[in-house]
Amino acid sequence: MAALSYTATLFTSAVVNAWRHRTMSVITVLIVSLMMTTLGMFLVIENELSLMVASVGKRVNLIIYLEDDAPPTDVLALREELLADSRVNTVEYITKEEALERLRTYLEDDPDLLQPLLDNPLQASLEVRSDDPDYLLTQVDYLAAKRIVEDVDLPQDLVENLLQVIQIVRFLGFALGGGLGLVALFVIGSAIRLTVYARRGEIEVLRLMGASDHFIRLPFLLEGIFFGLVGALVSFVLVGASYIWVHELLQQTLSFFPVSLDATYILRLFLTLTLFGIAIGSLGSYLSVRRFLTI
Amino acid sequence: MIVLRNVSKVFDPHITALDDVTLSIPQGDFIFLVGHNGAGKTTLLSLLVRADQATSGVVLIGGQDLALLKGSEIPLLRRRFGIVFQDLKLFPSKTVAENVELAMQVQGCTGKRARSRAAEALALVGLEHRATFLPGNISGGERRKAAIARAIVHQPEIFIADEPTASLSPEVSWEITSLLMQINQLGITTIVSTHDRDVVDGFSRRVVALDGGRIVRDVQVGKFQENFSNATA
Ligand SMILES: Nc1ncnc2c1ncn2[C@@H]1O[C@H](COP(=O)(O)OP(=O)(O)OP(=O)(O)O)[C@@H](O)[C@H]1O
Ligand SMILES: [Mg+2]
Repeated sequence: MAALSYTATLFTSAVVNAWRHRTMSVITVLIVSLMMTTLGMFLVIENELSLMVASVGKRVNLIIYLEDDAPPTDVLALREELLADSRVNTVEYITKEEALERLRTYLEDDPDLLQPLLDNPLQASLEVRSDDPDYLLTQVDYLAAKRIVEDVDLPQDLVENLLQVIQIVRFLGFALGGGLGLVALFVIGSAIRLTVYARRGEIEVLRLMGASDHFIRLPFLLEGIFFGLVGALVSFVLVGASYIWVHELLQQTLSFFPVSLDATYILRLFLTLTLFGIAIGSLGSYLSVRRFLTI
Repeated sequence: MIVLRNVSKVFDPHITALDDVTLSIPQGDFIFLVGHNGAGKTTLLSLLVRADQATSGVVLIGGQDLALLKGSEIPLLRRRFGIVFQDLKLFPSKTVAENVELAMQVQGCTGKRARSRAAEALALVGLEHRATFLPGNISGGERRKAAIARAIVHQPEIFIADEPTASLSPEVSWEITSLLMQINQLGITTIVSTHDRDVVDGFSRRVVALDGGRIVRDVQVGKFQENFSNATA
């Protein structure tokens, strides 16, 4: 309890320190907020795109059209092989007759259309379902090369494009987030350095009074964490609002986007940004104190 | 027991602040350290708390050779001291009580206990009524008392005051010095550096006189008066 109230006192003094260098503190908070907002935006975009891929992917069947003369034992062997991979959910064997039956049901209202068919022109096929469109994509060429397979069909384009966009978003997020992260570290470090400089007299006195390194460093660490937390809060408000806005926009414009607003995702976003803010704040101040507060 | 054996301190390039000083101060002793500006008083005191290191010679505190201390042991050494700095070094943005509490927090004692100990120390120096004042808003004499309270709140083994009566009126100087005697009576070894002839004359105590970094007098209780002007002239 005593230690807690002491930490509270220290935290208050960290805020007071930040207030003494208002201009520097405001700049610091702005840059940290900017950095974390950028990072947060990328997190949200990545999340939305992944949701899109997942919801599109669920509808995607990889369809393997089989040669007419494919021996049933080979077909069943292929089915077993596909099922052996845990990423594959189901493999359904559609015979020529079943395919025709499906077509009949589909064209129920217009049965005359099928009248002139003497022979069944449809192909037997295997329909593969997976939640992992990425995996299906890698299997296309391998399957197409098989003797009993005539053709492989995957509504690739959309999934492939989305996956590519996700890659780019991830890369940009890492690059920009990393670059801005370094800037934020540097800016927090500079702000702490100012405080160290302003308080060097007090630090000297504390040393002579027998204060430990830990005791002297703690307030600076808290000041760094304070900057990180304020940055996290600002960016959470901005990113959270954009998340809700983007999500609703997507739901309205994309029919296949059935995912409703996710409260746990918002909570996760809050925790991620907060932890990141604490991490970057304490790292920035640690590095600065280590350099400028020589013991 | 504090022991200095052939201690010299040379600052770059060649200022000899202390020159072959040998001195021992038993536990519970009271000494005045006198000498004019630049005689080496502050330098001697700073060696005791390892704020600086002797160029040659040995400094022992309770048998412990300060040259052999590890970095992490220095704070522990300093916590055995209470120091009133020549320029006080009170924290201007903290109240008198907070300044005193800080010395407890440095020792790892926080919260209610630190507050009540700070209140006791302020009562001892007669400054209860200034507890919530900032150091800038009290008189020079009161500031000295605040610094003294901060130096004794953690009940140190050794109390050091560097010129605690400089530029105070004779009455306040007297009051402050009486306070230092009172602290010494608690069994705390007390070392007081001073310029103030009246103070030294008025309280018959051991006097160590420095001149140009050398000990020129070390006179026990009450035998000093007639030599004082020679040592400091
Ligand atoms: N850090 C330092 N670097 C160089 N010289 C120093 C340093 N500290 C003290 N000196 C020199 O050492 C000598 C002794 O100084 P010291 O401060 O110990 O004297 P003092 O007796 O405390 O004087 P005063 O009564 O003015 O406080 C002086 O000549 C001073 O200039
Ligand atoms: Mg001095």
